[in-house]
Amino acid sequence: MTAVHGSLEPLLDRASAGVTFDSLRIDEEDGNYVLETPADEWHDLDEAALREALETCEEYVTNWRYWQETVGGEGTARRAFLRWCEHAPIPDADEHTTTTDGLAVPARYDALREGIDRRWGQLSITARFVDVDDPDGERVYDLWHVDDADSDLADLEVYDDPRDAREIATYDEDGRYRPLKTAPTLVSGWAFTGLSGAELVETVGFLYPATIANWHRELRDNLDVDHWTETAERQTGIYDVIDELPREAVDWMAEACCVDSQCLRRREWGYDEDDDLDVDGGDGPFPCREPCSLVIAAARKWAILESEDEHTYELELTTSELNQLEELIDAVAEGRTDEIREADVYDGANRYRARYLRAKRVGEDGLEATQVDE
Amino acid sequence: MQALVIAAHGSHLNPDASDPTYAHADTIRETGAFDEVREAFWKEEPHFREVVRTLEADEVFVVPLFISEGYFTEEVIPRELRLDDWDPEKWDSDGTSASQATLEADDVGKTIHYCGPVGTHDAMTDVIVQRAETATGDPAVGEGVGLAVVGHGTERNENSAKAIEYHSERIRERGRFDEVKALFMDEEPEVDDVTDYFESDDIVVVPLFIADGYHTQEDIPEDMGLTEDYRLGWDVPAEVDGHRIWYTGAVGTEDLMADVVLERAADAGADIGDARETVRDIASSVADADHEPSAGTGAGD
Repeated sequence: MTAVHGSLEPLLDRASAGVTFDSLRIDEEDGNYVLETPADEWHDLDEAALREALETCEEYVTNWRYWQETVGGEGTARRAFLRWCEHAPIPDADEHTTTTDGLAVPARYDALREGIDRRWGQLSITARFVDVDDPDGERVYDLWHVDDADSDLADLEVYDDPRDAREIATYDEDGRYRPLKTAPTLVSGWAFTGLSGAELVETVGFLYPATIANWHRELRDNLDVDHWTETAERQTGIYDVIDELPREAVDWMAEACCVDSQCLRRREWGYDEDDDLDVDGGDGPFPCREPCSLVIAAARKWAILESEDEHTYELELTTSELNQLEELIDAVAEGRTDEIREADVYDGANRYRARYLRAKRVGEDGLEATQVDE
Repeated sequence: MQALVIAAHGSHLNPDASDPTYAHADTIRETGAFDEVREAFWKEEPHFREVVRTLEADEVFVVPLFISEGYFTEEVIPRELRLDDWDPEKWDSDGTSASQATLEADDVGKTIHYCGPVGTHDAMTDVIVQRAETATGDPAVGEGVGLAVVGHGTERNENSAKAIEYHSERIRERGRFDEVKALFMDEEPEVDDVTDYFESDDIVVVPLFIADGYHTQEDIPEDMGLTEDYRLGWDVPAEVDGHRIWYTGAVGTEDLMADVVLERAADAGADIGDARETVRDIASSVADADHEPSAGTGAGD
């Protein structure tokens, strides 16, 4: 019963103004207090009696202190995200009703003693008490890659400065630059432990920028989606051309770039407000509210390529060679070329198979194909 | 609460392009002058489009980490930040004199102080001089030495040349260097002929670029004849036509750049306390520690 004391004084200071938070209610009525939790109700309490009664509601008192004094920031995405981390109810835009079902305080306290795990893209986040034996309500957060969920902490590189997340987010496991932070290529092998709520939000902000803000907007039903046509028409300079991309090419583009295998954001934008794309938007926890800069840059290339006329070509290929072209395209598109074994000549995308096809069919002037239309 | 956003170009291809942005942001974080400091990019994340919504502060100072007034600072950044009432006229600038404009961001209802680019601020002159000091490893560099300030030139943007000439003139007026010249990549006087424009044996060449990349680590060193092939690196100084050329790389990587960012925000009304002194202390301690000039090792490092 020691942990409650640090929280009692600030709560008593607020009592006369009334407190309603996470099913804890204190009101002043005719100079005396009313105290209410889902489990109990007290009336006509003077200040000493209120103090005594509150000491029996330790979990509600320390919970109040953590959220109202330590976290604060009512209405912010930061606060909503931290509440999501422990399955707490999240108030909606008018701060009254809750938009999600959540755990009540006693159930959350039980769970926080064990640690509550949540998944955010490729991140696994654990919310837990600083002091498990005598919780004073203070939470800390651990963060690691979902693939490391069962790893021993001793086997991971452990960090505590959110800025270290930038380096982690910059390269994939092959050391290649990751220009798209929400690509499903985040490396594993690291952990942030004992982060404060603010530090957790900052760290997630470096790993998956702006995802918390847009998730929060979506939760409050005010996600501002910019569809393809609006985004394309807004562009100037070298990107001015992208609004010329044909309608069907926008579908192909989304299939190429915006599916779960390429990006963890869930595409909420369509061709325009009344015209969705044929491709599935994905299942990510955080929404994609407009085509990103990588899509814009790629769209420029495709807009230029799609401005070319189609022709009919004649080239000599065996049936197996035609099939091999498909296998080659497929292997590159799936990023699978590195996995094809050196001597696996049964795979059409094997390097020797590709070199053989090039030796046979690609001359000094390129592929031996003849245009047969005019 | 007040927040600072450093708005930079970034890159889809080069992971190092954003290093100076992060470095200057971290320096300013250390001062504690702002409740929030955020990097934002055109080609990285968070994008200009989505940065302001990540902030809790109601008052936001946006400082473009760009060299000159032009397409990005006058058109792209304000549009992507949704500063609907923006008009370049609000800066009332002659091409190098933009200070700030106060606007509302449409999507978040916050006050945005949209500042002029770092490259045209008067404090940038000091950064160029400091780059000359770090490139030569001589805190008193100047006497008997020529200084070339290098920029793109007008082909891309008329104001780009103005910014180069503006700082060159200011340094010339100080009388610290024997000679000061503005040189360009795509117009006369060209950086290729750098030795033609100087009588001094020692020439410090400072490119007025934000980040190291193709221009500063490949083009310019090869064009000046510092090296046959940028991948082999070059000596600092390197001997060219009987002159010693002291060249490292983009001025934007200089630690003192954080001071220019702070000054831009302060000019726009940010309360920065004694943050400038802190930043100058950090920059000078780093400059002392970096006494040995480093040779270029190519853009890929």
